[in-house]
Amino acid sequence: MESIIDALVQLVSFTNIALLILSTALGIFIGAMPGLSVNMGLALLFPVTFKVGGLGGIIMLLGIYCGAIYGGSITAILLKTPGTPASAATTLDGYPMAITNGQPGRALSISTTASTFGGVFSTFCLICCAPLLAMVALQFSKPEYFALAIFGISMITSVSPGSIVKGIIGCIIGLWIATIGTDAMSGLDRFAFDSLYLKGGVSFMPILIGLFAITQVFINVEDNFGKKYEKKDFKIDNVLPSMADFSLTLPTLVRSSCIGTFIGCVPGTGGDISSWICYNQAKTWAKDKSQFGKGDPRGIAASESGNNSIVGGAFIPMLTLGIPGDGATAIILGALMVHGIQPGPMLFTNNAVDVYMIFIGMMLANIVMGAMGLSLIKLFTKVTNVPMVILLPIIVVMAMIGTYSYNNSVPDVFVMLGAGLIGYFMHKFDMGVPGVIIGIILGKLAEENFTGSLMMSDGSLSIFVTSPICFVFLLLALVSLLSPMYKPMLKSLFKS
Amino acid sequence: MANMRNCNLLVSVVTGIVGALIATTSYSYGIEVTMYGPGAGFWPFFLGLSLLIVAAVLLFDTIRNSGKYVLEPVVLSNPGNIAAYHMMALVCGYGVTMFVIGFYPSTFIFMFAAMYMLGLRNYKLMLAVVLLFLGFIFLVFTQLLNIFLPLPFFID
Repeated sequence: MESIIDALVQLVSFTNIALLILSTALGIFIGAMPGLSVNMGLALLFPVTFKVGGLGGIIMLLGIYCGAIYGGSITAILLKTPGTPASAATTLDGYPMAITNGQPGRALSISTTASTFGGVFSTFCLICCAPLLAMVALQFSKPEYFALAIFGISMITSVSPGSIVKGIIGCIIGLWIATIGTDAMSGLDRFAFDSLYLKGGVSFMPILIGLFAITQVFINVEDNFGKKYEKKDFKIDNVLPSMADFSLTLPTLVRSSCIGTFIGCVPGTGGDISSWICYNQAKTWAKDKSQFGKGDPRGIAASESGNNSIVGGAFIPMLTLGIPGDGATAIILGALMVHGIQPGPMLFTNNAVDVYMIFIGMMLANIVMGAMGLSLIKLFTKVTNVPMVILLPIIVVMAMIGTYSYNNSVPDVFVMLGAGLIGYFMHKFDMGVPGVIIGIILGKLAEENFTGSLMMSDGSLSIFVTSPICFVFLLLALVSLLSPMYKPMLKSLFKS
Repeated sequence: MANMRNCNLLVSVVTGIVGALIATTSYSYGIEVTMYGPGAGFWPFFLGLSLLIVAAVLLFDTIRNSGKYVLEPVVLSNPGNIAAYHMMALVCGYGVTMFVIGFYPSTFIFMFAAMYMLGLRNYKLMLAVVLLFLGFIFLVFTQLLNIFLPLPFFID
């Protein structure tokens, strides 16, 4: 209780609340712009949060994360173009309600209510479940942590878009990048080639910004080539939710939030998977299915509460085990580490105040997001009219500032540019980009625990199979990595 | 037009080479396991070896499903790609000039050139956007957050 009060005292200040409002608004803007992703927003603004420092910086990241996931629904409803992949399912009923039925305000109000409900619900689950899971995780030793890191990497690689084999290549490259620099155990310089910069290790920050921001700029240049700019005006009347809509959608909201929170807990899943599953479940459970696809409020509520509820769910393994659920949580995990917070079971005993600040910050971010959605929606629909031709150069400049200001390092800028160019071709060649970042972030954890395990066992690899928890995690990792081999066989078996 | 088979072959060859280089370099750091734990090269050697194996798997899969991958186009030379390549050159040029003529002049030139390259021809709007954005950077980043931005090479 004392920790909660301490957290509240530190959190509730004019600066922190102002930062939360500003970052949530920025997040909604990023999410609402088709072509800008949650990951890009987090990558671009991470250096700014670092400069803001400490708690304020972490609050900003939470605001951007929550706001960006919700923001994707605005263009999904008004333009039939989801701002983020997580809002793709929202277009099915959101667009018909807004345009065909002429009720854009109603569609946006249902989406805002559902997003806030999902976010708050999953944060409650996070507050209840995370300490329990952390208590279980306290029993883990080095082999279990190594197995957990491999399990997290394998799940993310096997579920992320693109070819799994090429995703694994990206992940191993990321794990290798994490080994560059002076080895903590032996003091030996690895892959440094007498370069002072490489001896200190390659920071994940320039690679992160390069792969998520600069690569996205090149992709947007290609996608928008030859497209004419069209300004869209929407007449939005009332955006306050009606009681009738709320009672109609309440069972869907509760069900979808539960599903979304659970899906968020599983590493490698994400808002897009969650929103589609929740939408299908809403349709299955509905007595009258005829309105789905024509502007049914339950369709919007299912998709939006489903994708926003993964936020709290994804934080459960991230905070308790140090395993990110997706690309966005991988960035937040890296950011927490830079801010001096090491996620893992010890976090709950060593930094209880920090944990509660994150919990309360996330709860506040969801509430601020809902309040802004209901009060400033007309403004947010206007910002979606900012043309790409203006936005893309601004993103490049922000990426440059972010990368350079992190360490005042010139090589960092060139690493970022290199990562951006390679990322574009990785995208072209169907290689998953998030795997590289997750590899870099989990690389140290995996190597330290691998080395530590071998020291515990006097060099015997059998330690990884004698511990039941470790064995199960490694087996699950193997099953998910080999899925491309047996999936077609299983499909044909079930068909026959 | 390129196809996924050729791209996969390229990726598997490059991965194989990188994997072999990592494994051989790691070997020189020591990969023996003693009672004090594995050598500094053990883990990266293992990663290099893994890369070699995955490269071989990709090569085998590409050859086995060659017909399928040939039909999968990879667009690398349409006008959209060319525009992206131009942007890459511009961004790299910006990255270099930033440390030569300083952040503010290079950003001014880059933003103007990028907007022009992306098809904007309204010079008044371009100037307004660039000046407003630079003003925002100066106020927020330089004044408020005290972020140091690169100066021209002749100013120490």
